[in-house]
Amino acid sequence: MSESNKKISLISSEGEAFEVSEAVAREFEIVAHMLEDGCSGSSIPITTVDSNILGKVIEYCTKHVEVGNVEGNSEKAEKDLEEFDKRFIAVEMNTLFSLILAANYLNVKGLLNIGCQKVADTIKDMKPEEVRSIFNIENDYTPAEEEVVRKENEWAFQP
Amino acid sequence: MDSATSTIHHLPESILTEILARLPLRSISRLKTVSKTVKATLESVYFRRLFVSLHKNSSSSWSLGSREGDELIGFHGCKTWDVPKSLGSFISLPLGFEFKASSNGLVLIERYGCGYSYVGNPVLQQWVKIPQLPCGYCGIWTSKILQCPHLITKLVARAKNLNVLAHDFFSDSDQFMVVHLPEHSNHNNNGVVNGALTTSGGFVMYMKSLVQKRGTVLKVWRLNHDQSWQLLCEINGLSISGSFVPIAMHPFDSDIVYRWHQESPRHLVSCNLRTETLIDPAREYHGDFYMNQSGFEEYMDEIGRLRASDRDYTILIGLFQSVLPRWMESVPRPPQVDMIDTTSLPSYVACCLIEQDE
Repeated sequence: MSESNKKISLISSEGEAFEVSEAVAREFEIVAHMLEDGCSGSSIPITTVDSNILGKVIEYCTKHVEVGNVEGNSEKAEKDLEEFDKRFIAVEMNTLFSLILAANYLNVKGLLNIGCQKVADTIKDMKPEEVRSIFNIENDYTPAEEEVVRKENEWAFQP
Repeated sequence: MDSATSTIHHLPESILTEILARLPLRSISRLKTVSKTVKATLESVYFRRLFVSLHKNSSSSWSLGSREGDELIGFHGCKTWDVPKSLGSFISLPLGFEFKASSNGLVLIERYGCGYSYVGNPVLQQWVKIPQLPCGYCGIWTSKILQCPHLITKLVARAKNLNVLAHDFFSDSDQFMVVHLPEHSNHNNNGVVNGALTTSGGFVMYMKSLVQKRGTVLKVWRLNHDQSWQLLCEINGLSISGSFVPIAMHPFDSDIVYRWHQESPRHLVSCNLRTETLIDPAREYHGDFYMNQSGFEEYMDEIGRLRASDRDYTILIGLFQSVLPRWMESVPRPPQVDMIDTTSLPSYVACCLIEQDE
């Protein structure tokens, strides 16, 4: 098919161009919508995502498009993809947050999902104060109010 | 990663919500102490819907036990709740009490013979006393007295006398619907315990093993909403030598039947009706699974003693099933009624009994 051979350049916030096939670019729903709206230019600026993160998101989408194109043997392919996702998302928290923000902006649902799940798995057993610090959330309880809420949820603090 | 670099990003609130909705309920409960805003998010209707849709493929925790409070088998490794121990270990029944009923994560416990009862959520550790009727909270509690045509039995019953009693509590009727068991009079399996009435996947289920020339056959029926029994499966060739009793079904997966093998060494087997395979139930879950071998032996011995008084007791009906719901909700409580936590429940019960004696 000639359509799938068409190349599109995605330009990072630093101005670096990443050439990808249209199929991969379409994994970014925001790009897919642009293309459908008749934006036929061959280079698309992604001004809020830097080269490092854009490169990673493209890697993720390329892998998912490749696996999606392979016919048959779906169980093994699915397992491989799961393994890929697991390795892909095993990054430190700052990169993970950047990936989530990029996936949210570009509307890559699969990546947004595994990113959010990875953060959830990481904070699952954390103390409330650790979670406050990670997300930079201000504690607006008075000590007495906090104690009441803690009492109401006592079961969740027990080992 | 140190915490100084971890606070560079401010995630938009919508993404924070997406992350929190992927946590189990135990973490969600704990994180209500993070801030008022976070607590409001976690208690919103939007969050609840998101949580339920994200966890719809995760099985919930469950437990099967005796009415006297001995947990026999249970699974607590679900991603919905992430409870740290088996459900049965969340409550030790106050002396003289037994489990009466359970629904939607709530359980009803009652003191033998004197109508003192409490309803509560053992995991959330909240209990409310049900007043003895007639009560002073008119308009808050409603009571309904039903005409019961049969003696309600507890542990085992005669197949030919056993019926399912159905009642819609929202109807105006004060009568039970009586549903007879399928094949209740046809096969007499020489008076051994061979059947069980239980629930699974929201349906009443009846299962029965029959000794035939080809070997032992296991039949499973489901009671449909039109009060008809539907034969779900009839399989043979799955019997290890020796006799077995179908004890219970997996509360969510109607393909899994638990069978107790009577001959030494006595043991429980999980039987998958779809793949027609038998496995050790502990292997089904890879941990987070509780099984009480000596409890099972005692339970079956007790049934043996009951049967000594009547050889026709062949159907097990007594296992108490408790299942955690898809979302946590506080125990409903009328105003002016105390919420009792689990640790003070025994002393509360003791006080009530002293008052009654006086």
